[in-house]
Amino acid sequence: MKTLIHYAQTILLIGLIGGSVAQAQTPVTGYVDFGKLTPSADGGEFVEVNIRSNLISMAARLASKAEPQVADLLRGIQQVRVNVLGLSDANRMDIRKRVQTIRDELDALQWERVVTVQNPQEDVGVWLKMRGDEAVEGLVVTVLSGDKEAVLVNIVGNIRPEKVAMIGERFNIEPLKNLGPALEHTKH
Amino acid sequence: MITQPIDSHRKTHFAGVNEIVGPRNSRPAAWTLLAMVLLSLSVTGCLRVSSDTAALRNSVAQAIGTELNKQIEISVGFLTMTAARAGLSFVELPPEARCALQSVKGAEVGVYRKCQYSAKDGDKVLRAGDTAMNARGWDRMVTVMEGSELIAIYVPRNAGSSRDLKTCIVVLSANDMVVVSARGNLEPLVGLAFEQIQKDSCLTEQTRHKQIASIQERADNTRNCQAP
Repeated sequence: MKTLIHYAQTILLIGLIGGSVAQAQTPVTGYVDFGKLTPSADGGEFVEVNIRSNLISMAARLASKAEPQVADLLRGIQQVRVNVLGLSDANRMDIRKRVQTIRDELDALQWERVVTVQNPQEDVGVWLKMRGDEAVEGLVVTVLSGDKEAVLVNIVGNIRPEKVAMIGERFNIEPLKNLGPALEHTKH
Repeated sequence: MITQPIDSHRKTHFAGVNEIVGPRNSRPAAWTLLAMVLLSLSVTGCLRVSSDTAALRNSVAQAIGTELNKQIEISVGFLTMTAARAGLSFVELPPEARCALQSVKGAEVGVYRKCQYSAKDGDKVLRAGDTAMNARGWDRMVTVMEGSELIAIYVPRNAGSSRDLKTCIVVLSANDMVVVSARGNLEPLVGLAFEQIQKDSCLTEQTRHKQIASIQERADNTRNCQAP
């Protein structure tokens, strides 16, 4: 009997661990894998920011008194990732290809492209992963600034569409600042 | 039986200011002093860094393939910080500096020379740092690299309290490596940041109003000039 209980406990433990691992491995809907972005060997600009939910909720708690609106916005965000890559002769082609692949994947995964700006100086795209009309589960911004740099932003969470422009204001993400009208269009 | 006068163990110079304590009383005083030194070292840390900081330092040094040429390693703990705060409370400081001082509960700094870092090692350094720190429950939150300079900031994966947040930072330049670890309360700093943001936004608003007023004034002037 003791052996049976021991087996049952072991199976339960394995099940729990397996379950939690499986849960941890389930990708979040709004998350986009940019692949491994490595700094260029010639010392070009490389910035990587990865803020996870624990720090964001901490920031939300801290902001709740002074900036309740910002706190409300932060509560809806699970992860913020920003990559800035300086372009040089060594990596320009690779990075451009990578950005194009990400854009194609987003289109294939039926993310909604809400902003497109293409001129000789800039190539900007903003994609949203909507859950119905009421929430944005993921947001991706890709910017190719001429031959200088590439910027990739992915914000994951459960964000009300009308708050997306506020994210642009608060995090200083230029393409998101004027997103209000585009989102109104998406809603209808 | 030999009796010694009490004064033979004590010599008093300058009437009670400097007093040399004789052999009978010196032991308790020495033990007290030793205990205080040990307590202060155990609480405040000393000339070394903690294991997390050391792991980051060693992994980075190994990735570059350099030997650690230690310039200084210092650890400042709770007691020292409290003493510093108490001492500096009498000194006039900018509010930002005072706020930062109140936020920090403890810090460690290690400075190493001749580390010979170059941009081509950047990826290796990050990978090595990540491997060492991830195993200890830390994640890289911010990385900035340009030329032969690199900054990486790590935070604990399970950080949950803003009142006791730890960070571990490595800064590399062509010749030097600096490893910093700090523990502190973020709340006063965030409060200060929000105050600054509010001030800035007020200033921006005022500038915008001034610009609008100036445009309107110019338009009015033009209209008045054109009027017959």
